[in-house]
Amino acid sequence: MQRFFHDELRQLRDDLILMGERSLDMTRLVLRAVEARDDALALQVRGMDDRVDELEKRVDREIMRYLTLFGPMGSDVRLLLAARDIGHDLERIADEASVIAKRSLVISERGPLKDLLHVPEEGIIACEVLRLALDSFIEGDLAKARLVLERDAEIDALNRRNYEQLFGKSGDAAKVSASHVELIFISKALERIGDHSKNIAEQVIFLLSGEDVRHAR
Amino acid sequence: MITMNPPTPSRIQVRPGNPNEGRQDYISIRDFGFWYGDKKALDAISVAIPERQVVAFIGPSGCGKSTLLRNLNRMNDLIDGIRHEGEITINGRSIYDPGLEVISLRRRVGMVFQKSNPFPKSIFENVVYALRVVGVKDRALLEEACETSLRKAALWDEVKDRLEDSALGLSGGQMQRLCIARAIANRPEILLMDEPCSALDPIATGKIEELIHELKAQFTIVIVTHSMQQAARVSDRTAFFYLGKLIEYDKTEKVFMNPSQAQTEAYISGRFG
Amino acid sequence: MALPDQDSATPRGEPWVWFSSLGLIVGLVMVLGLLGLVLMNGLSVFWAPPVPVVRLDDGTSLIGQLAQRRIRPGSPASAPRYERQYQVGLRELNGHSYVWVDESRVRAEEFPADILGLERMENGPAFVRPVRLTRADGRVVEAADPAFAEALAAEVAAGAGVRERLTEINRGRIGEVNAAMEQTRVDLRRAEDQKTPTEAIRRAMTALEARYATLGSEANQIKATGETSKLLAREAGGREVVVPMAQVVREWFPNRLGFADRLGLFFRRLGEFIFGEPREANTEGGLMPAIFGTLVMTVFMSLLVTPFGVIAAIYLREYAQQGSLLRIVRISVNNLAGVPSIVFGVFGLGFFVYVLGGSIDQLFFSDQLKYNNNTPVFGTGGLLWCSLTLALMTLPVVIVATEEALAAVPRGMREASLATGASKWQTIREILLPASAPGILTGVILAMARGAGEVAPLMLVGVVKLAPTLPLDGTAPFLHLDRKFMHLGFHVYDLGFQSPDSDAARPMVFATTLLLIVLVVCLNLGAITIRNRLRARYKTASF
Repeated sequence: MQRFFHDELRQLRDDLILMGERSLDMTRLVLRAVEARDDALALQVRGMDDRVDELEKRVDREIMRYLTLFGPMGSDVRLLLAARDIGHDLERIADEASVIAKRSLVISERGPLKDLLHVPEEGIIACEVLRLALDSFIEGDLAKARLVLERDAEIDALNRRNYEQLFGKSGDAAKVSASHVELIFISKALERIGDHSKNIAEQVIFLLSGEDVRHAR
Repeated sequence: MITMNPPTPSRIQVRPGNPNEGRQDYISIRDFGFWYGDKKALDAISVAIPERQVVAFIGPSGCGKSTLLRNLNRMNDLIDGIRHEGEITINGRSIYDPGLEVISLRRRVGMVFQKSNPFPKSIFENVVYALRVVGVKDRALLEEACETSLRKAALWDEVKDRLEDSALGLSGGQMQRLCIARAIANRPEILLMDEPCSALDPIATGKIEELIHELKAQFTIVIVTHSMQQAARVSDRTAFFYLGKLIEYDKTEKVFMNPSQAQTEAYISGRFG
Repeated sequence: MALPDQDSATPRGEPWVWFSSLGLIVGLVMVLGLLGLVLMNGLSVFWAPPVPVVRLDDGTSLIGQLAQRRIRPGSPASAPRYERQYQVGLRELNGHSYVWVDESRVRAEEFPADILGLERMENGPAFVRPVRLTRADGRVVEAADPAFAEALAAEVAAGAGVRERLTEINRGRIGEVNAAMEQTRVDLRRAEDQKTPTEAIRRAMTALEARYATLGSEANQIKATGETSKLLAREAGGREVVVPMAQVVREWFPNRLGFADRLGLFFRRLGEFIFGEPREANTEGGLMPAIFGTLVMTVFMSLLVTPFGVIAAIYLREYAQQGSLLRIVRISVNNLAGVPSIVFGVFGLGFFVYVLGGSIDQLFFSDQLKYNNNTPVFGTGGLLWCSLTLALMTLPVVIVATEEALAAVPRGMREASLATGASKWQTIREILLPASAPGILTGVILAMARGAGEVAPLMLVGVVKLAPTLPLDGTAPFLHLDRKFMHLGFHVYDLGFQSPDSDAARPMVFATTLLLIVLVVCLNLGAITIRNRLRARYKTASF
């Protein structure tokens, strides 16, 4: 039997997906801003964060309302618990995108960088992984979720290479330009986005199978 | 109620508000007190029930919620030695208006009882009973009313081939839906429900709750229930009674998520008594 | 404190279970004993056992059917002496039908095949040895002739035909003429009184009288033709007796019958008993008028008592202000059920017959009173007054049953009806009455059972020993409320205490009692069937 309040769960899913798409959009746009040194775009991305924050609050309200009024059971409980974490992670992703936008603006202020290290590559993979995590949630695809867990390592590796390339070449932190430090922050933020995508994938696995794969190593 | 401007065309609205928002005080209970003999059952109750919404009365046994419900169609008149003070109006008119026949009041305020009580007649005769008592004889009219009511009560598909069978052969959930069909056959404005699901299994309960959700598009519904979950699921507003007093009356989400009274908090969280 | 050993303790109060079941057993044994006694004695009336010739020690002998055997009163219990009662019949010779014989005097019992049993219109039965039969056409058949039995049966059948024709003339046509003469006489007196022309009426009267005379002579002629056929027979002592065949209702050779023949005879007699007319001061023949009277009276009484009782109960339960006054009324109604029935009879006579009936006669039948020797119509006992009296007597039963049935209708059903906007009366008519119909019918069943068995009040308000007409017949207005009628219960009383020949009446008392029981059971079964059907239809919801 389909109950009238089950529609609210669908609404919740829709809101989460919307949030995910917005976070992904922000990440993509901010990467383009970094590569093209487009300050206007970076500023636009920073402005987009508020909408995601609002969506997170709405999702939280919906979760609380559903828990209070409709006494969920089974997969509905997992969906609500997972939704809470996914919403949180997506909001953090949007935050990270916003951080990247801020760093990008700082870089342009100080003068453009010729070498963006592996950041564009890392950004592409981060977007792919986030896309994958979102798809795993939308499609309820366990395999995609597990793929996210594997691919997160690629981002970590690139981040490390960025770090090593910068500090390893000169061997001296003093010689590194301030702009490059900002670039390292961007790389770090992309690595964080990868981690959040991984968290989302873990929640999707929990949602679909009930299995808790966090901190498994 | 959550207000928002939807980012995408939403398939449904959360808690659809009524397109034409009705009177907020469609049923207005003001300073209502009620006595069974010397025993005071209700004390200074004031509740405004909006049109075409579901209002749930909750509270422990003996708190007066059923008494108040049964005053809305003056079913308590059957009991000797009762007395009331204060006022109840429906759409602005007092139900104790001497010019208002109690019979015509009851025709406007349908009621569904805790124990389903179909008459020992056929399903058809049960549904059209309210029309028969006002003297409707036109068979076509009766049949139409029967089908409409049974469809509204989500029972038509289950019984359409055996309308002439005894109503007593139905299952418990079907009987209760039949009672709902009977109560809405003469198109009342208000539907009172006195613990309509307390004798039903979860599936039947779910069906009745779905029905309540459907019916509120047309009727103002007041439901007394012992199940807080049920009140939370089906109602727009909830009134919590205790010892004949109204402790809290607010939007259902507010009452269950963040009640303003400590007694309500204790009751809904199971820390009562 | 030490608790008693809980495992080995026997359940307390167990003997009381046995004690209470003993009460039931005693009750059942008494009821079954009563039924058995009535059944045995009642049905044995119709059984035809072999009939012996009994030779006694003083050389005399008798022919008779053994009626009963008992310990002789006054004989010592250690060495009891028995005596036997034989039904010998031939009351016109002996002056009695039954003789007691001390068993020690019986020398021998023989069962000769030629012994003939006769049931007759007058003077009771007869057990004889036939000699010769003179037939209606004058031919004579000797008893030894092989065709004798056949000829005898033919004459009995012819006699039945003669009787039938006589009845048709006497009761049918002469009855009609009588009624017409009665009416004409009233007309004549009225005409004389009012000084209107009487010529036409007188002429009609003369015509009727002529018709009466014709019919009378016709009847006499038929009677005379029947009297030519005679049977010459001999009783045990050798005395000869002549039996006119027109008088014989049934003949049988008790010692020639096989079991199947006896069974057939048994059922023929039973059939006559149920469907026939009474004769010989009700000690023989059938009980049709009494059965019919009882039935009509009981049904009519139920039709009267049910609406009154139900309406009264509805008022008491649904409308009346519940208070001390109502409590007194209710107690009074209940106590009414305990008033001796004869009191109702006196009330019926004093109020219904004299006051109500008298007034009706004054108002509607004043002509009848004035010109017909003050013969009352409703101012005397009759079916209406009997039914009304018994209806009054059984009213409390119906009221109490209906009240309880109304109270037993689930509250929810009442509330559901009122909540849809039905008025109180609509609720009662549509919901309460159908739902309580089984309970009401239970009350009616009890009322019928009580009414059907009641005798005492009926004796005062309209039951008679022998009614010439039935209360329900083919002439308008079909149901004759003013007619007196016969009743099984009164019949039992009449046979048992008012009969000239108590020995002859005794078996009939039991047979009639049996019939009364069967009738009451049948009435009740009918009502119970209706009730169960209603109950199936209106069973209240439960889940």
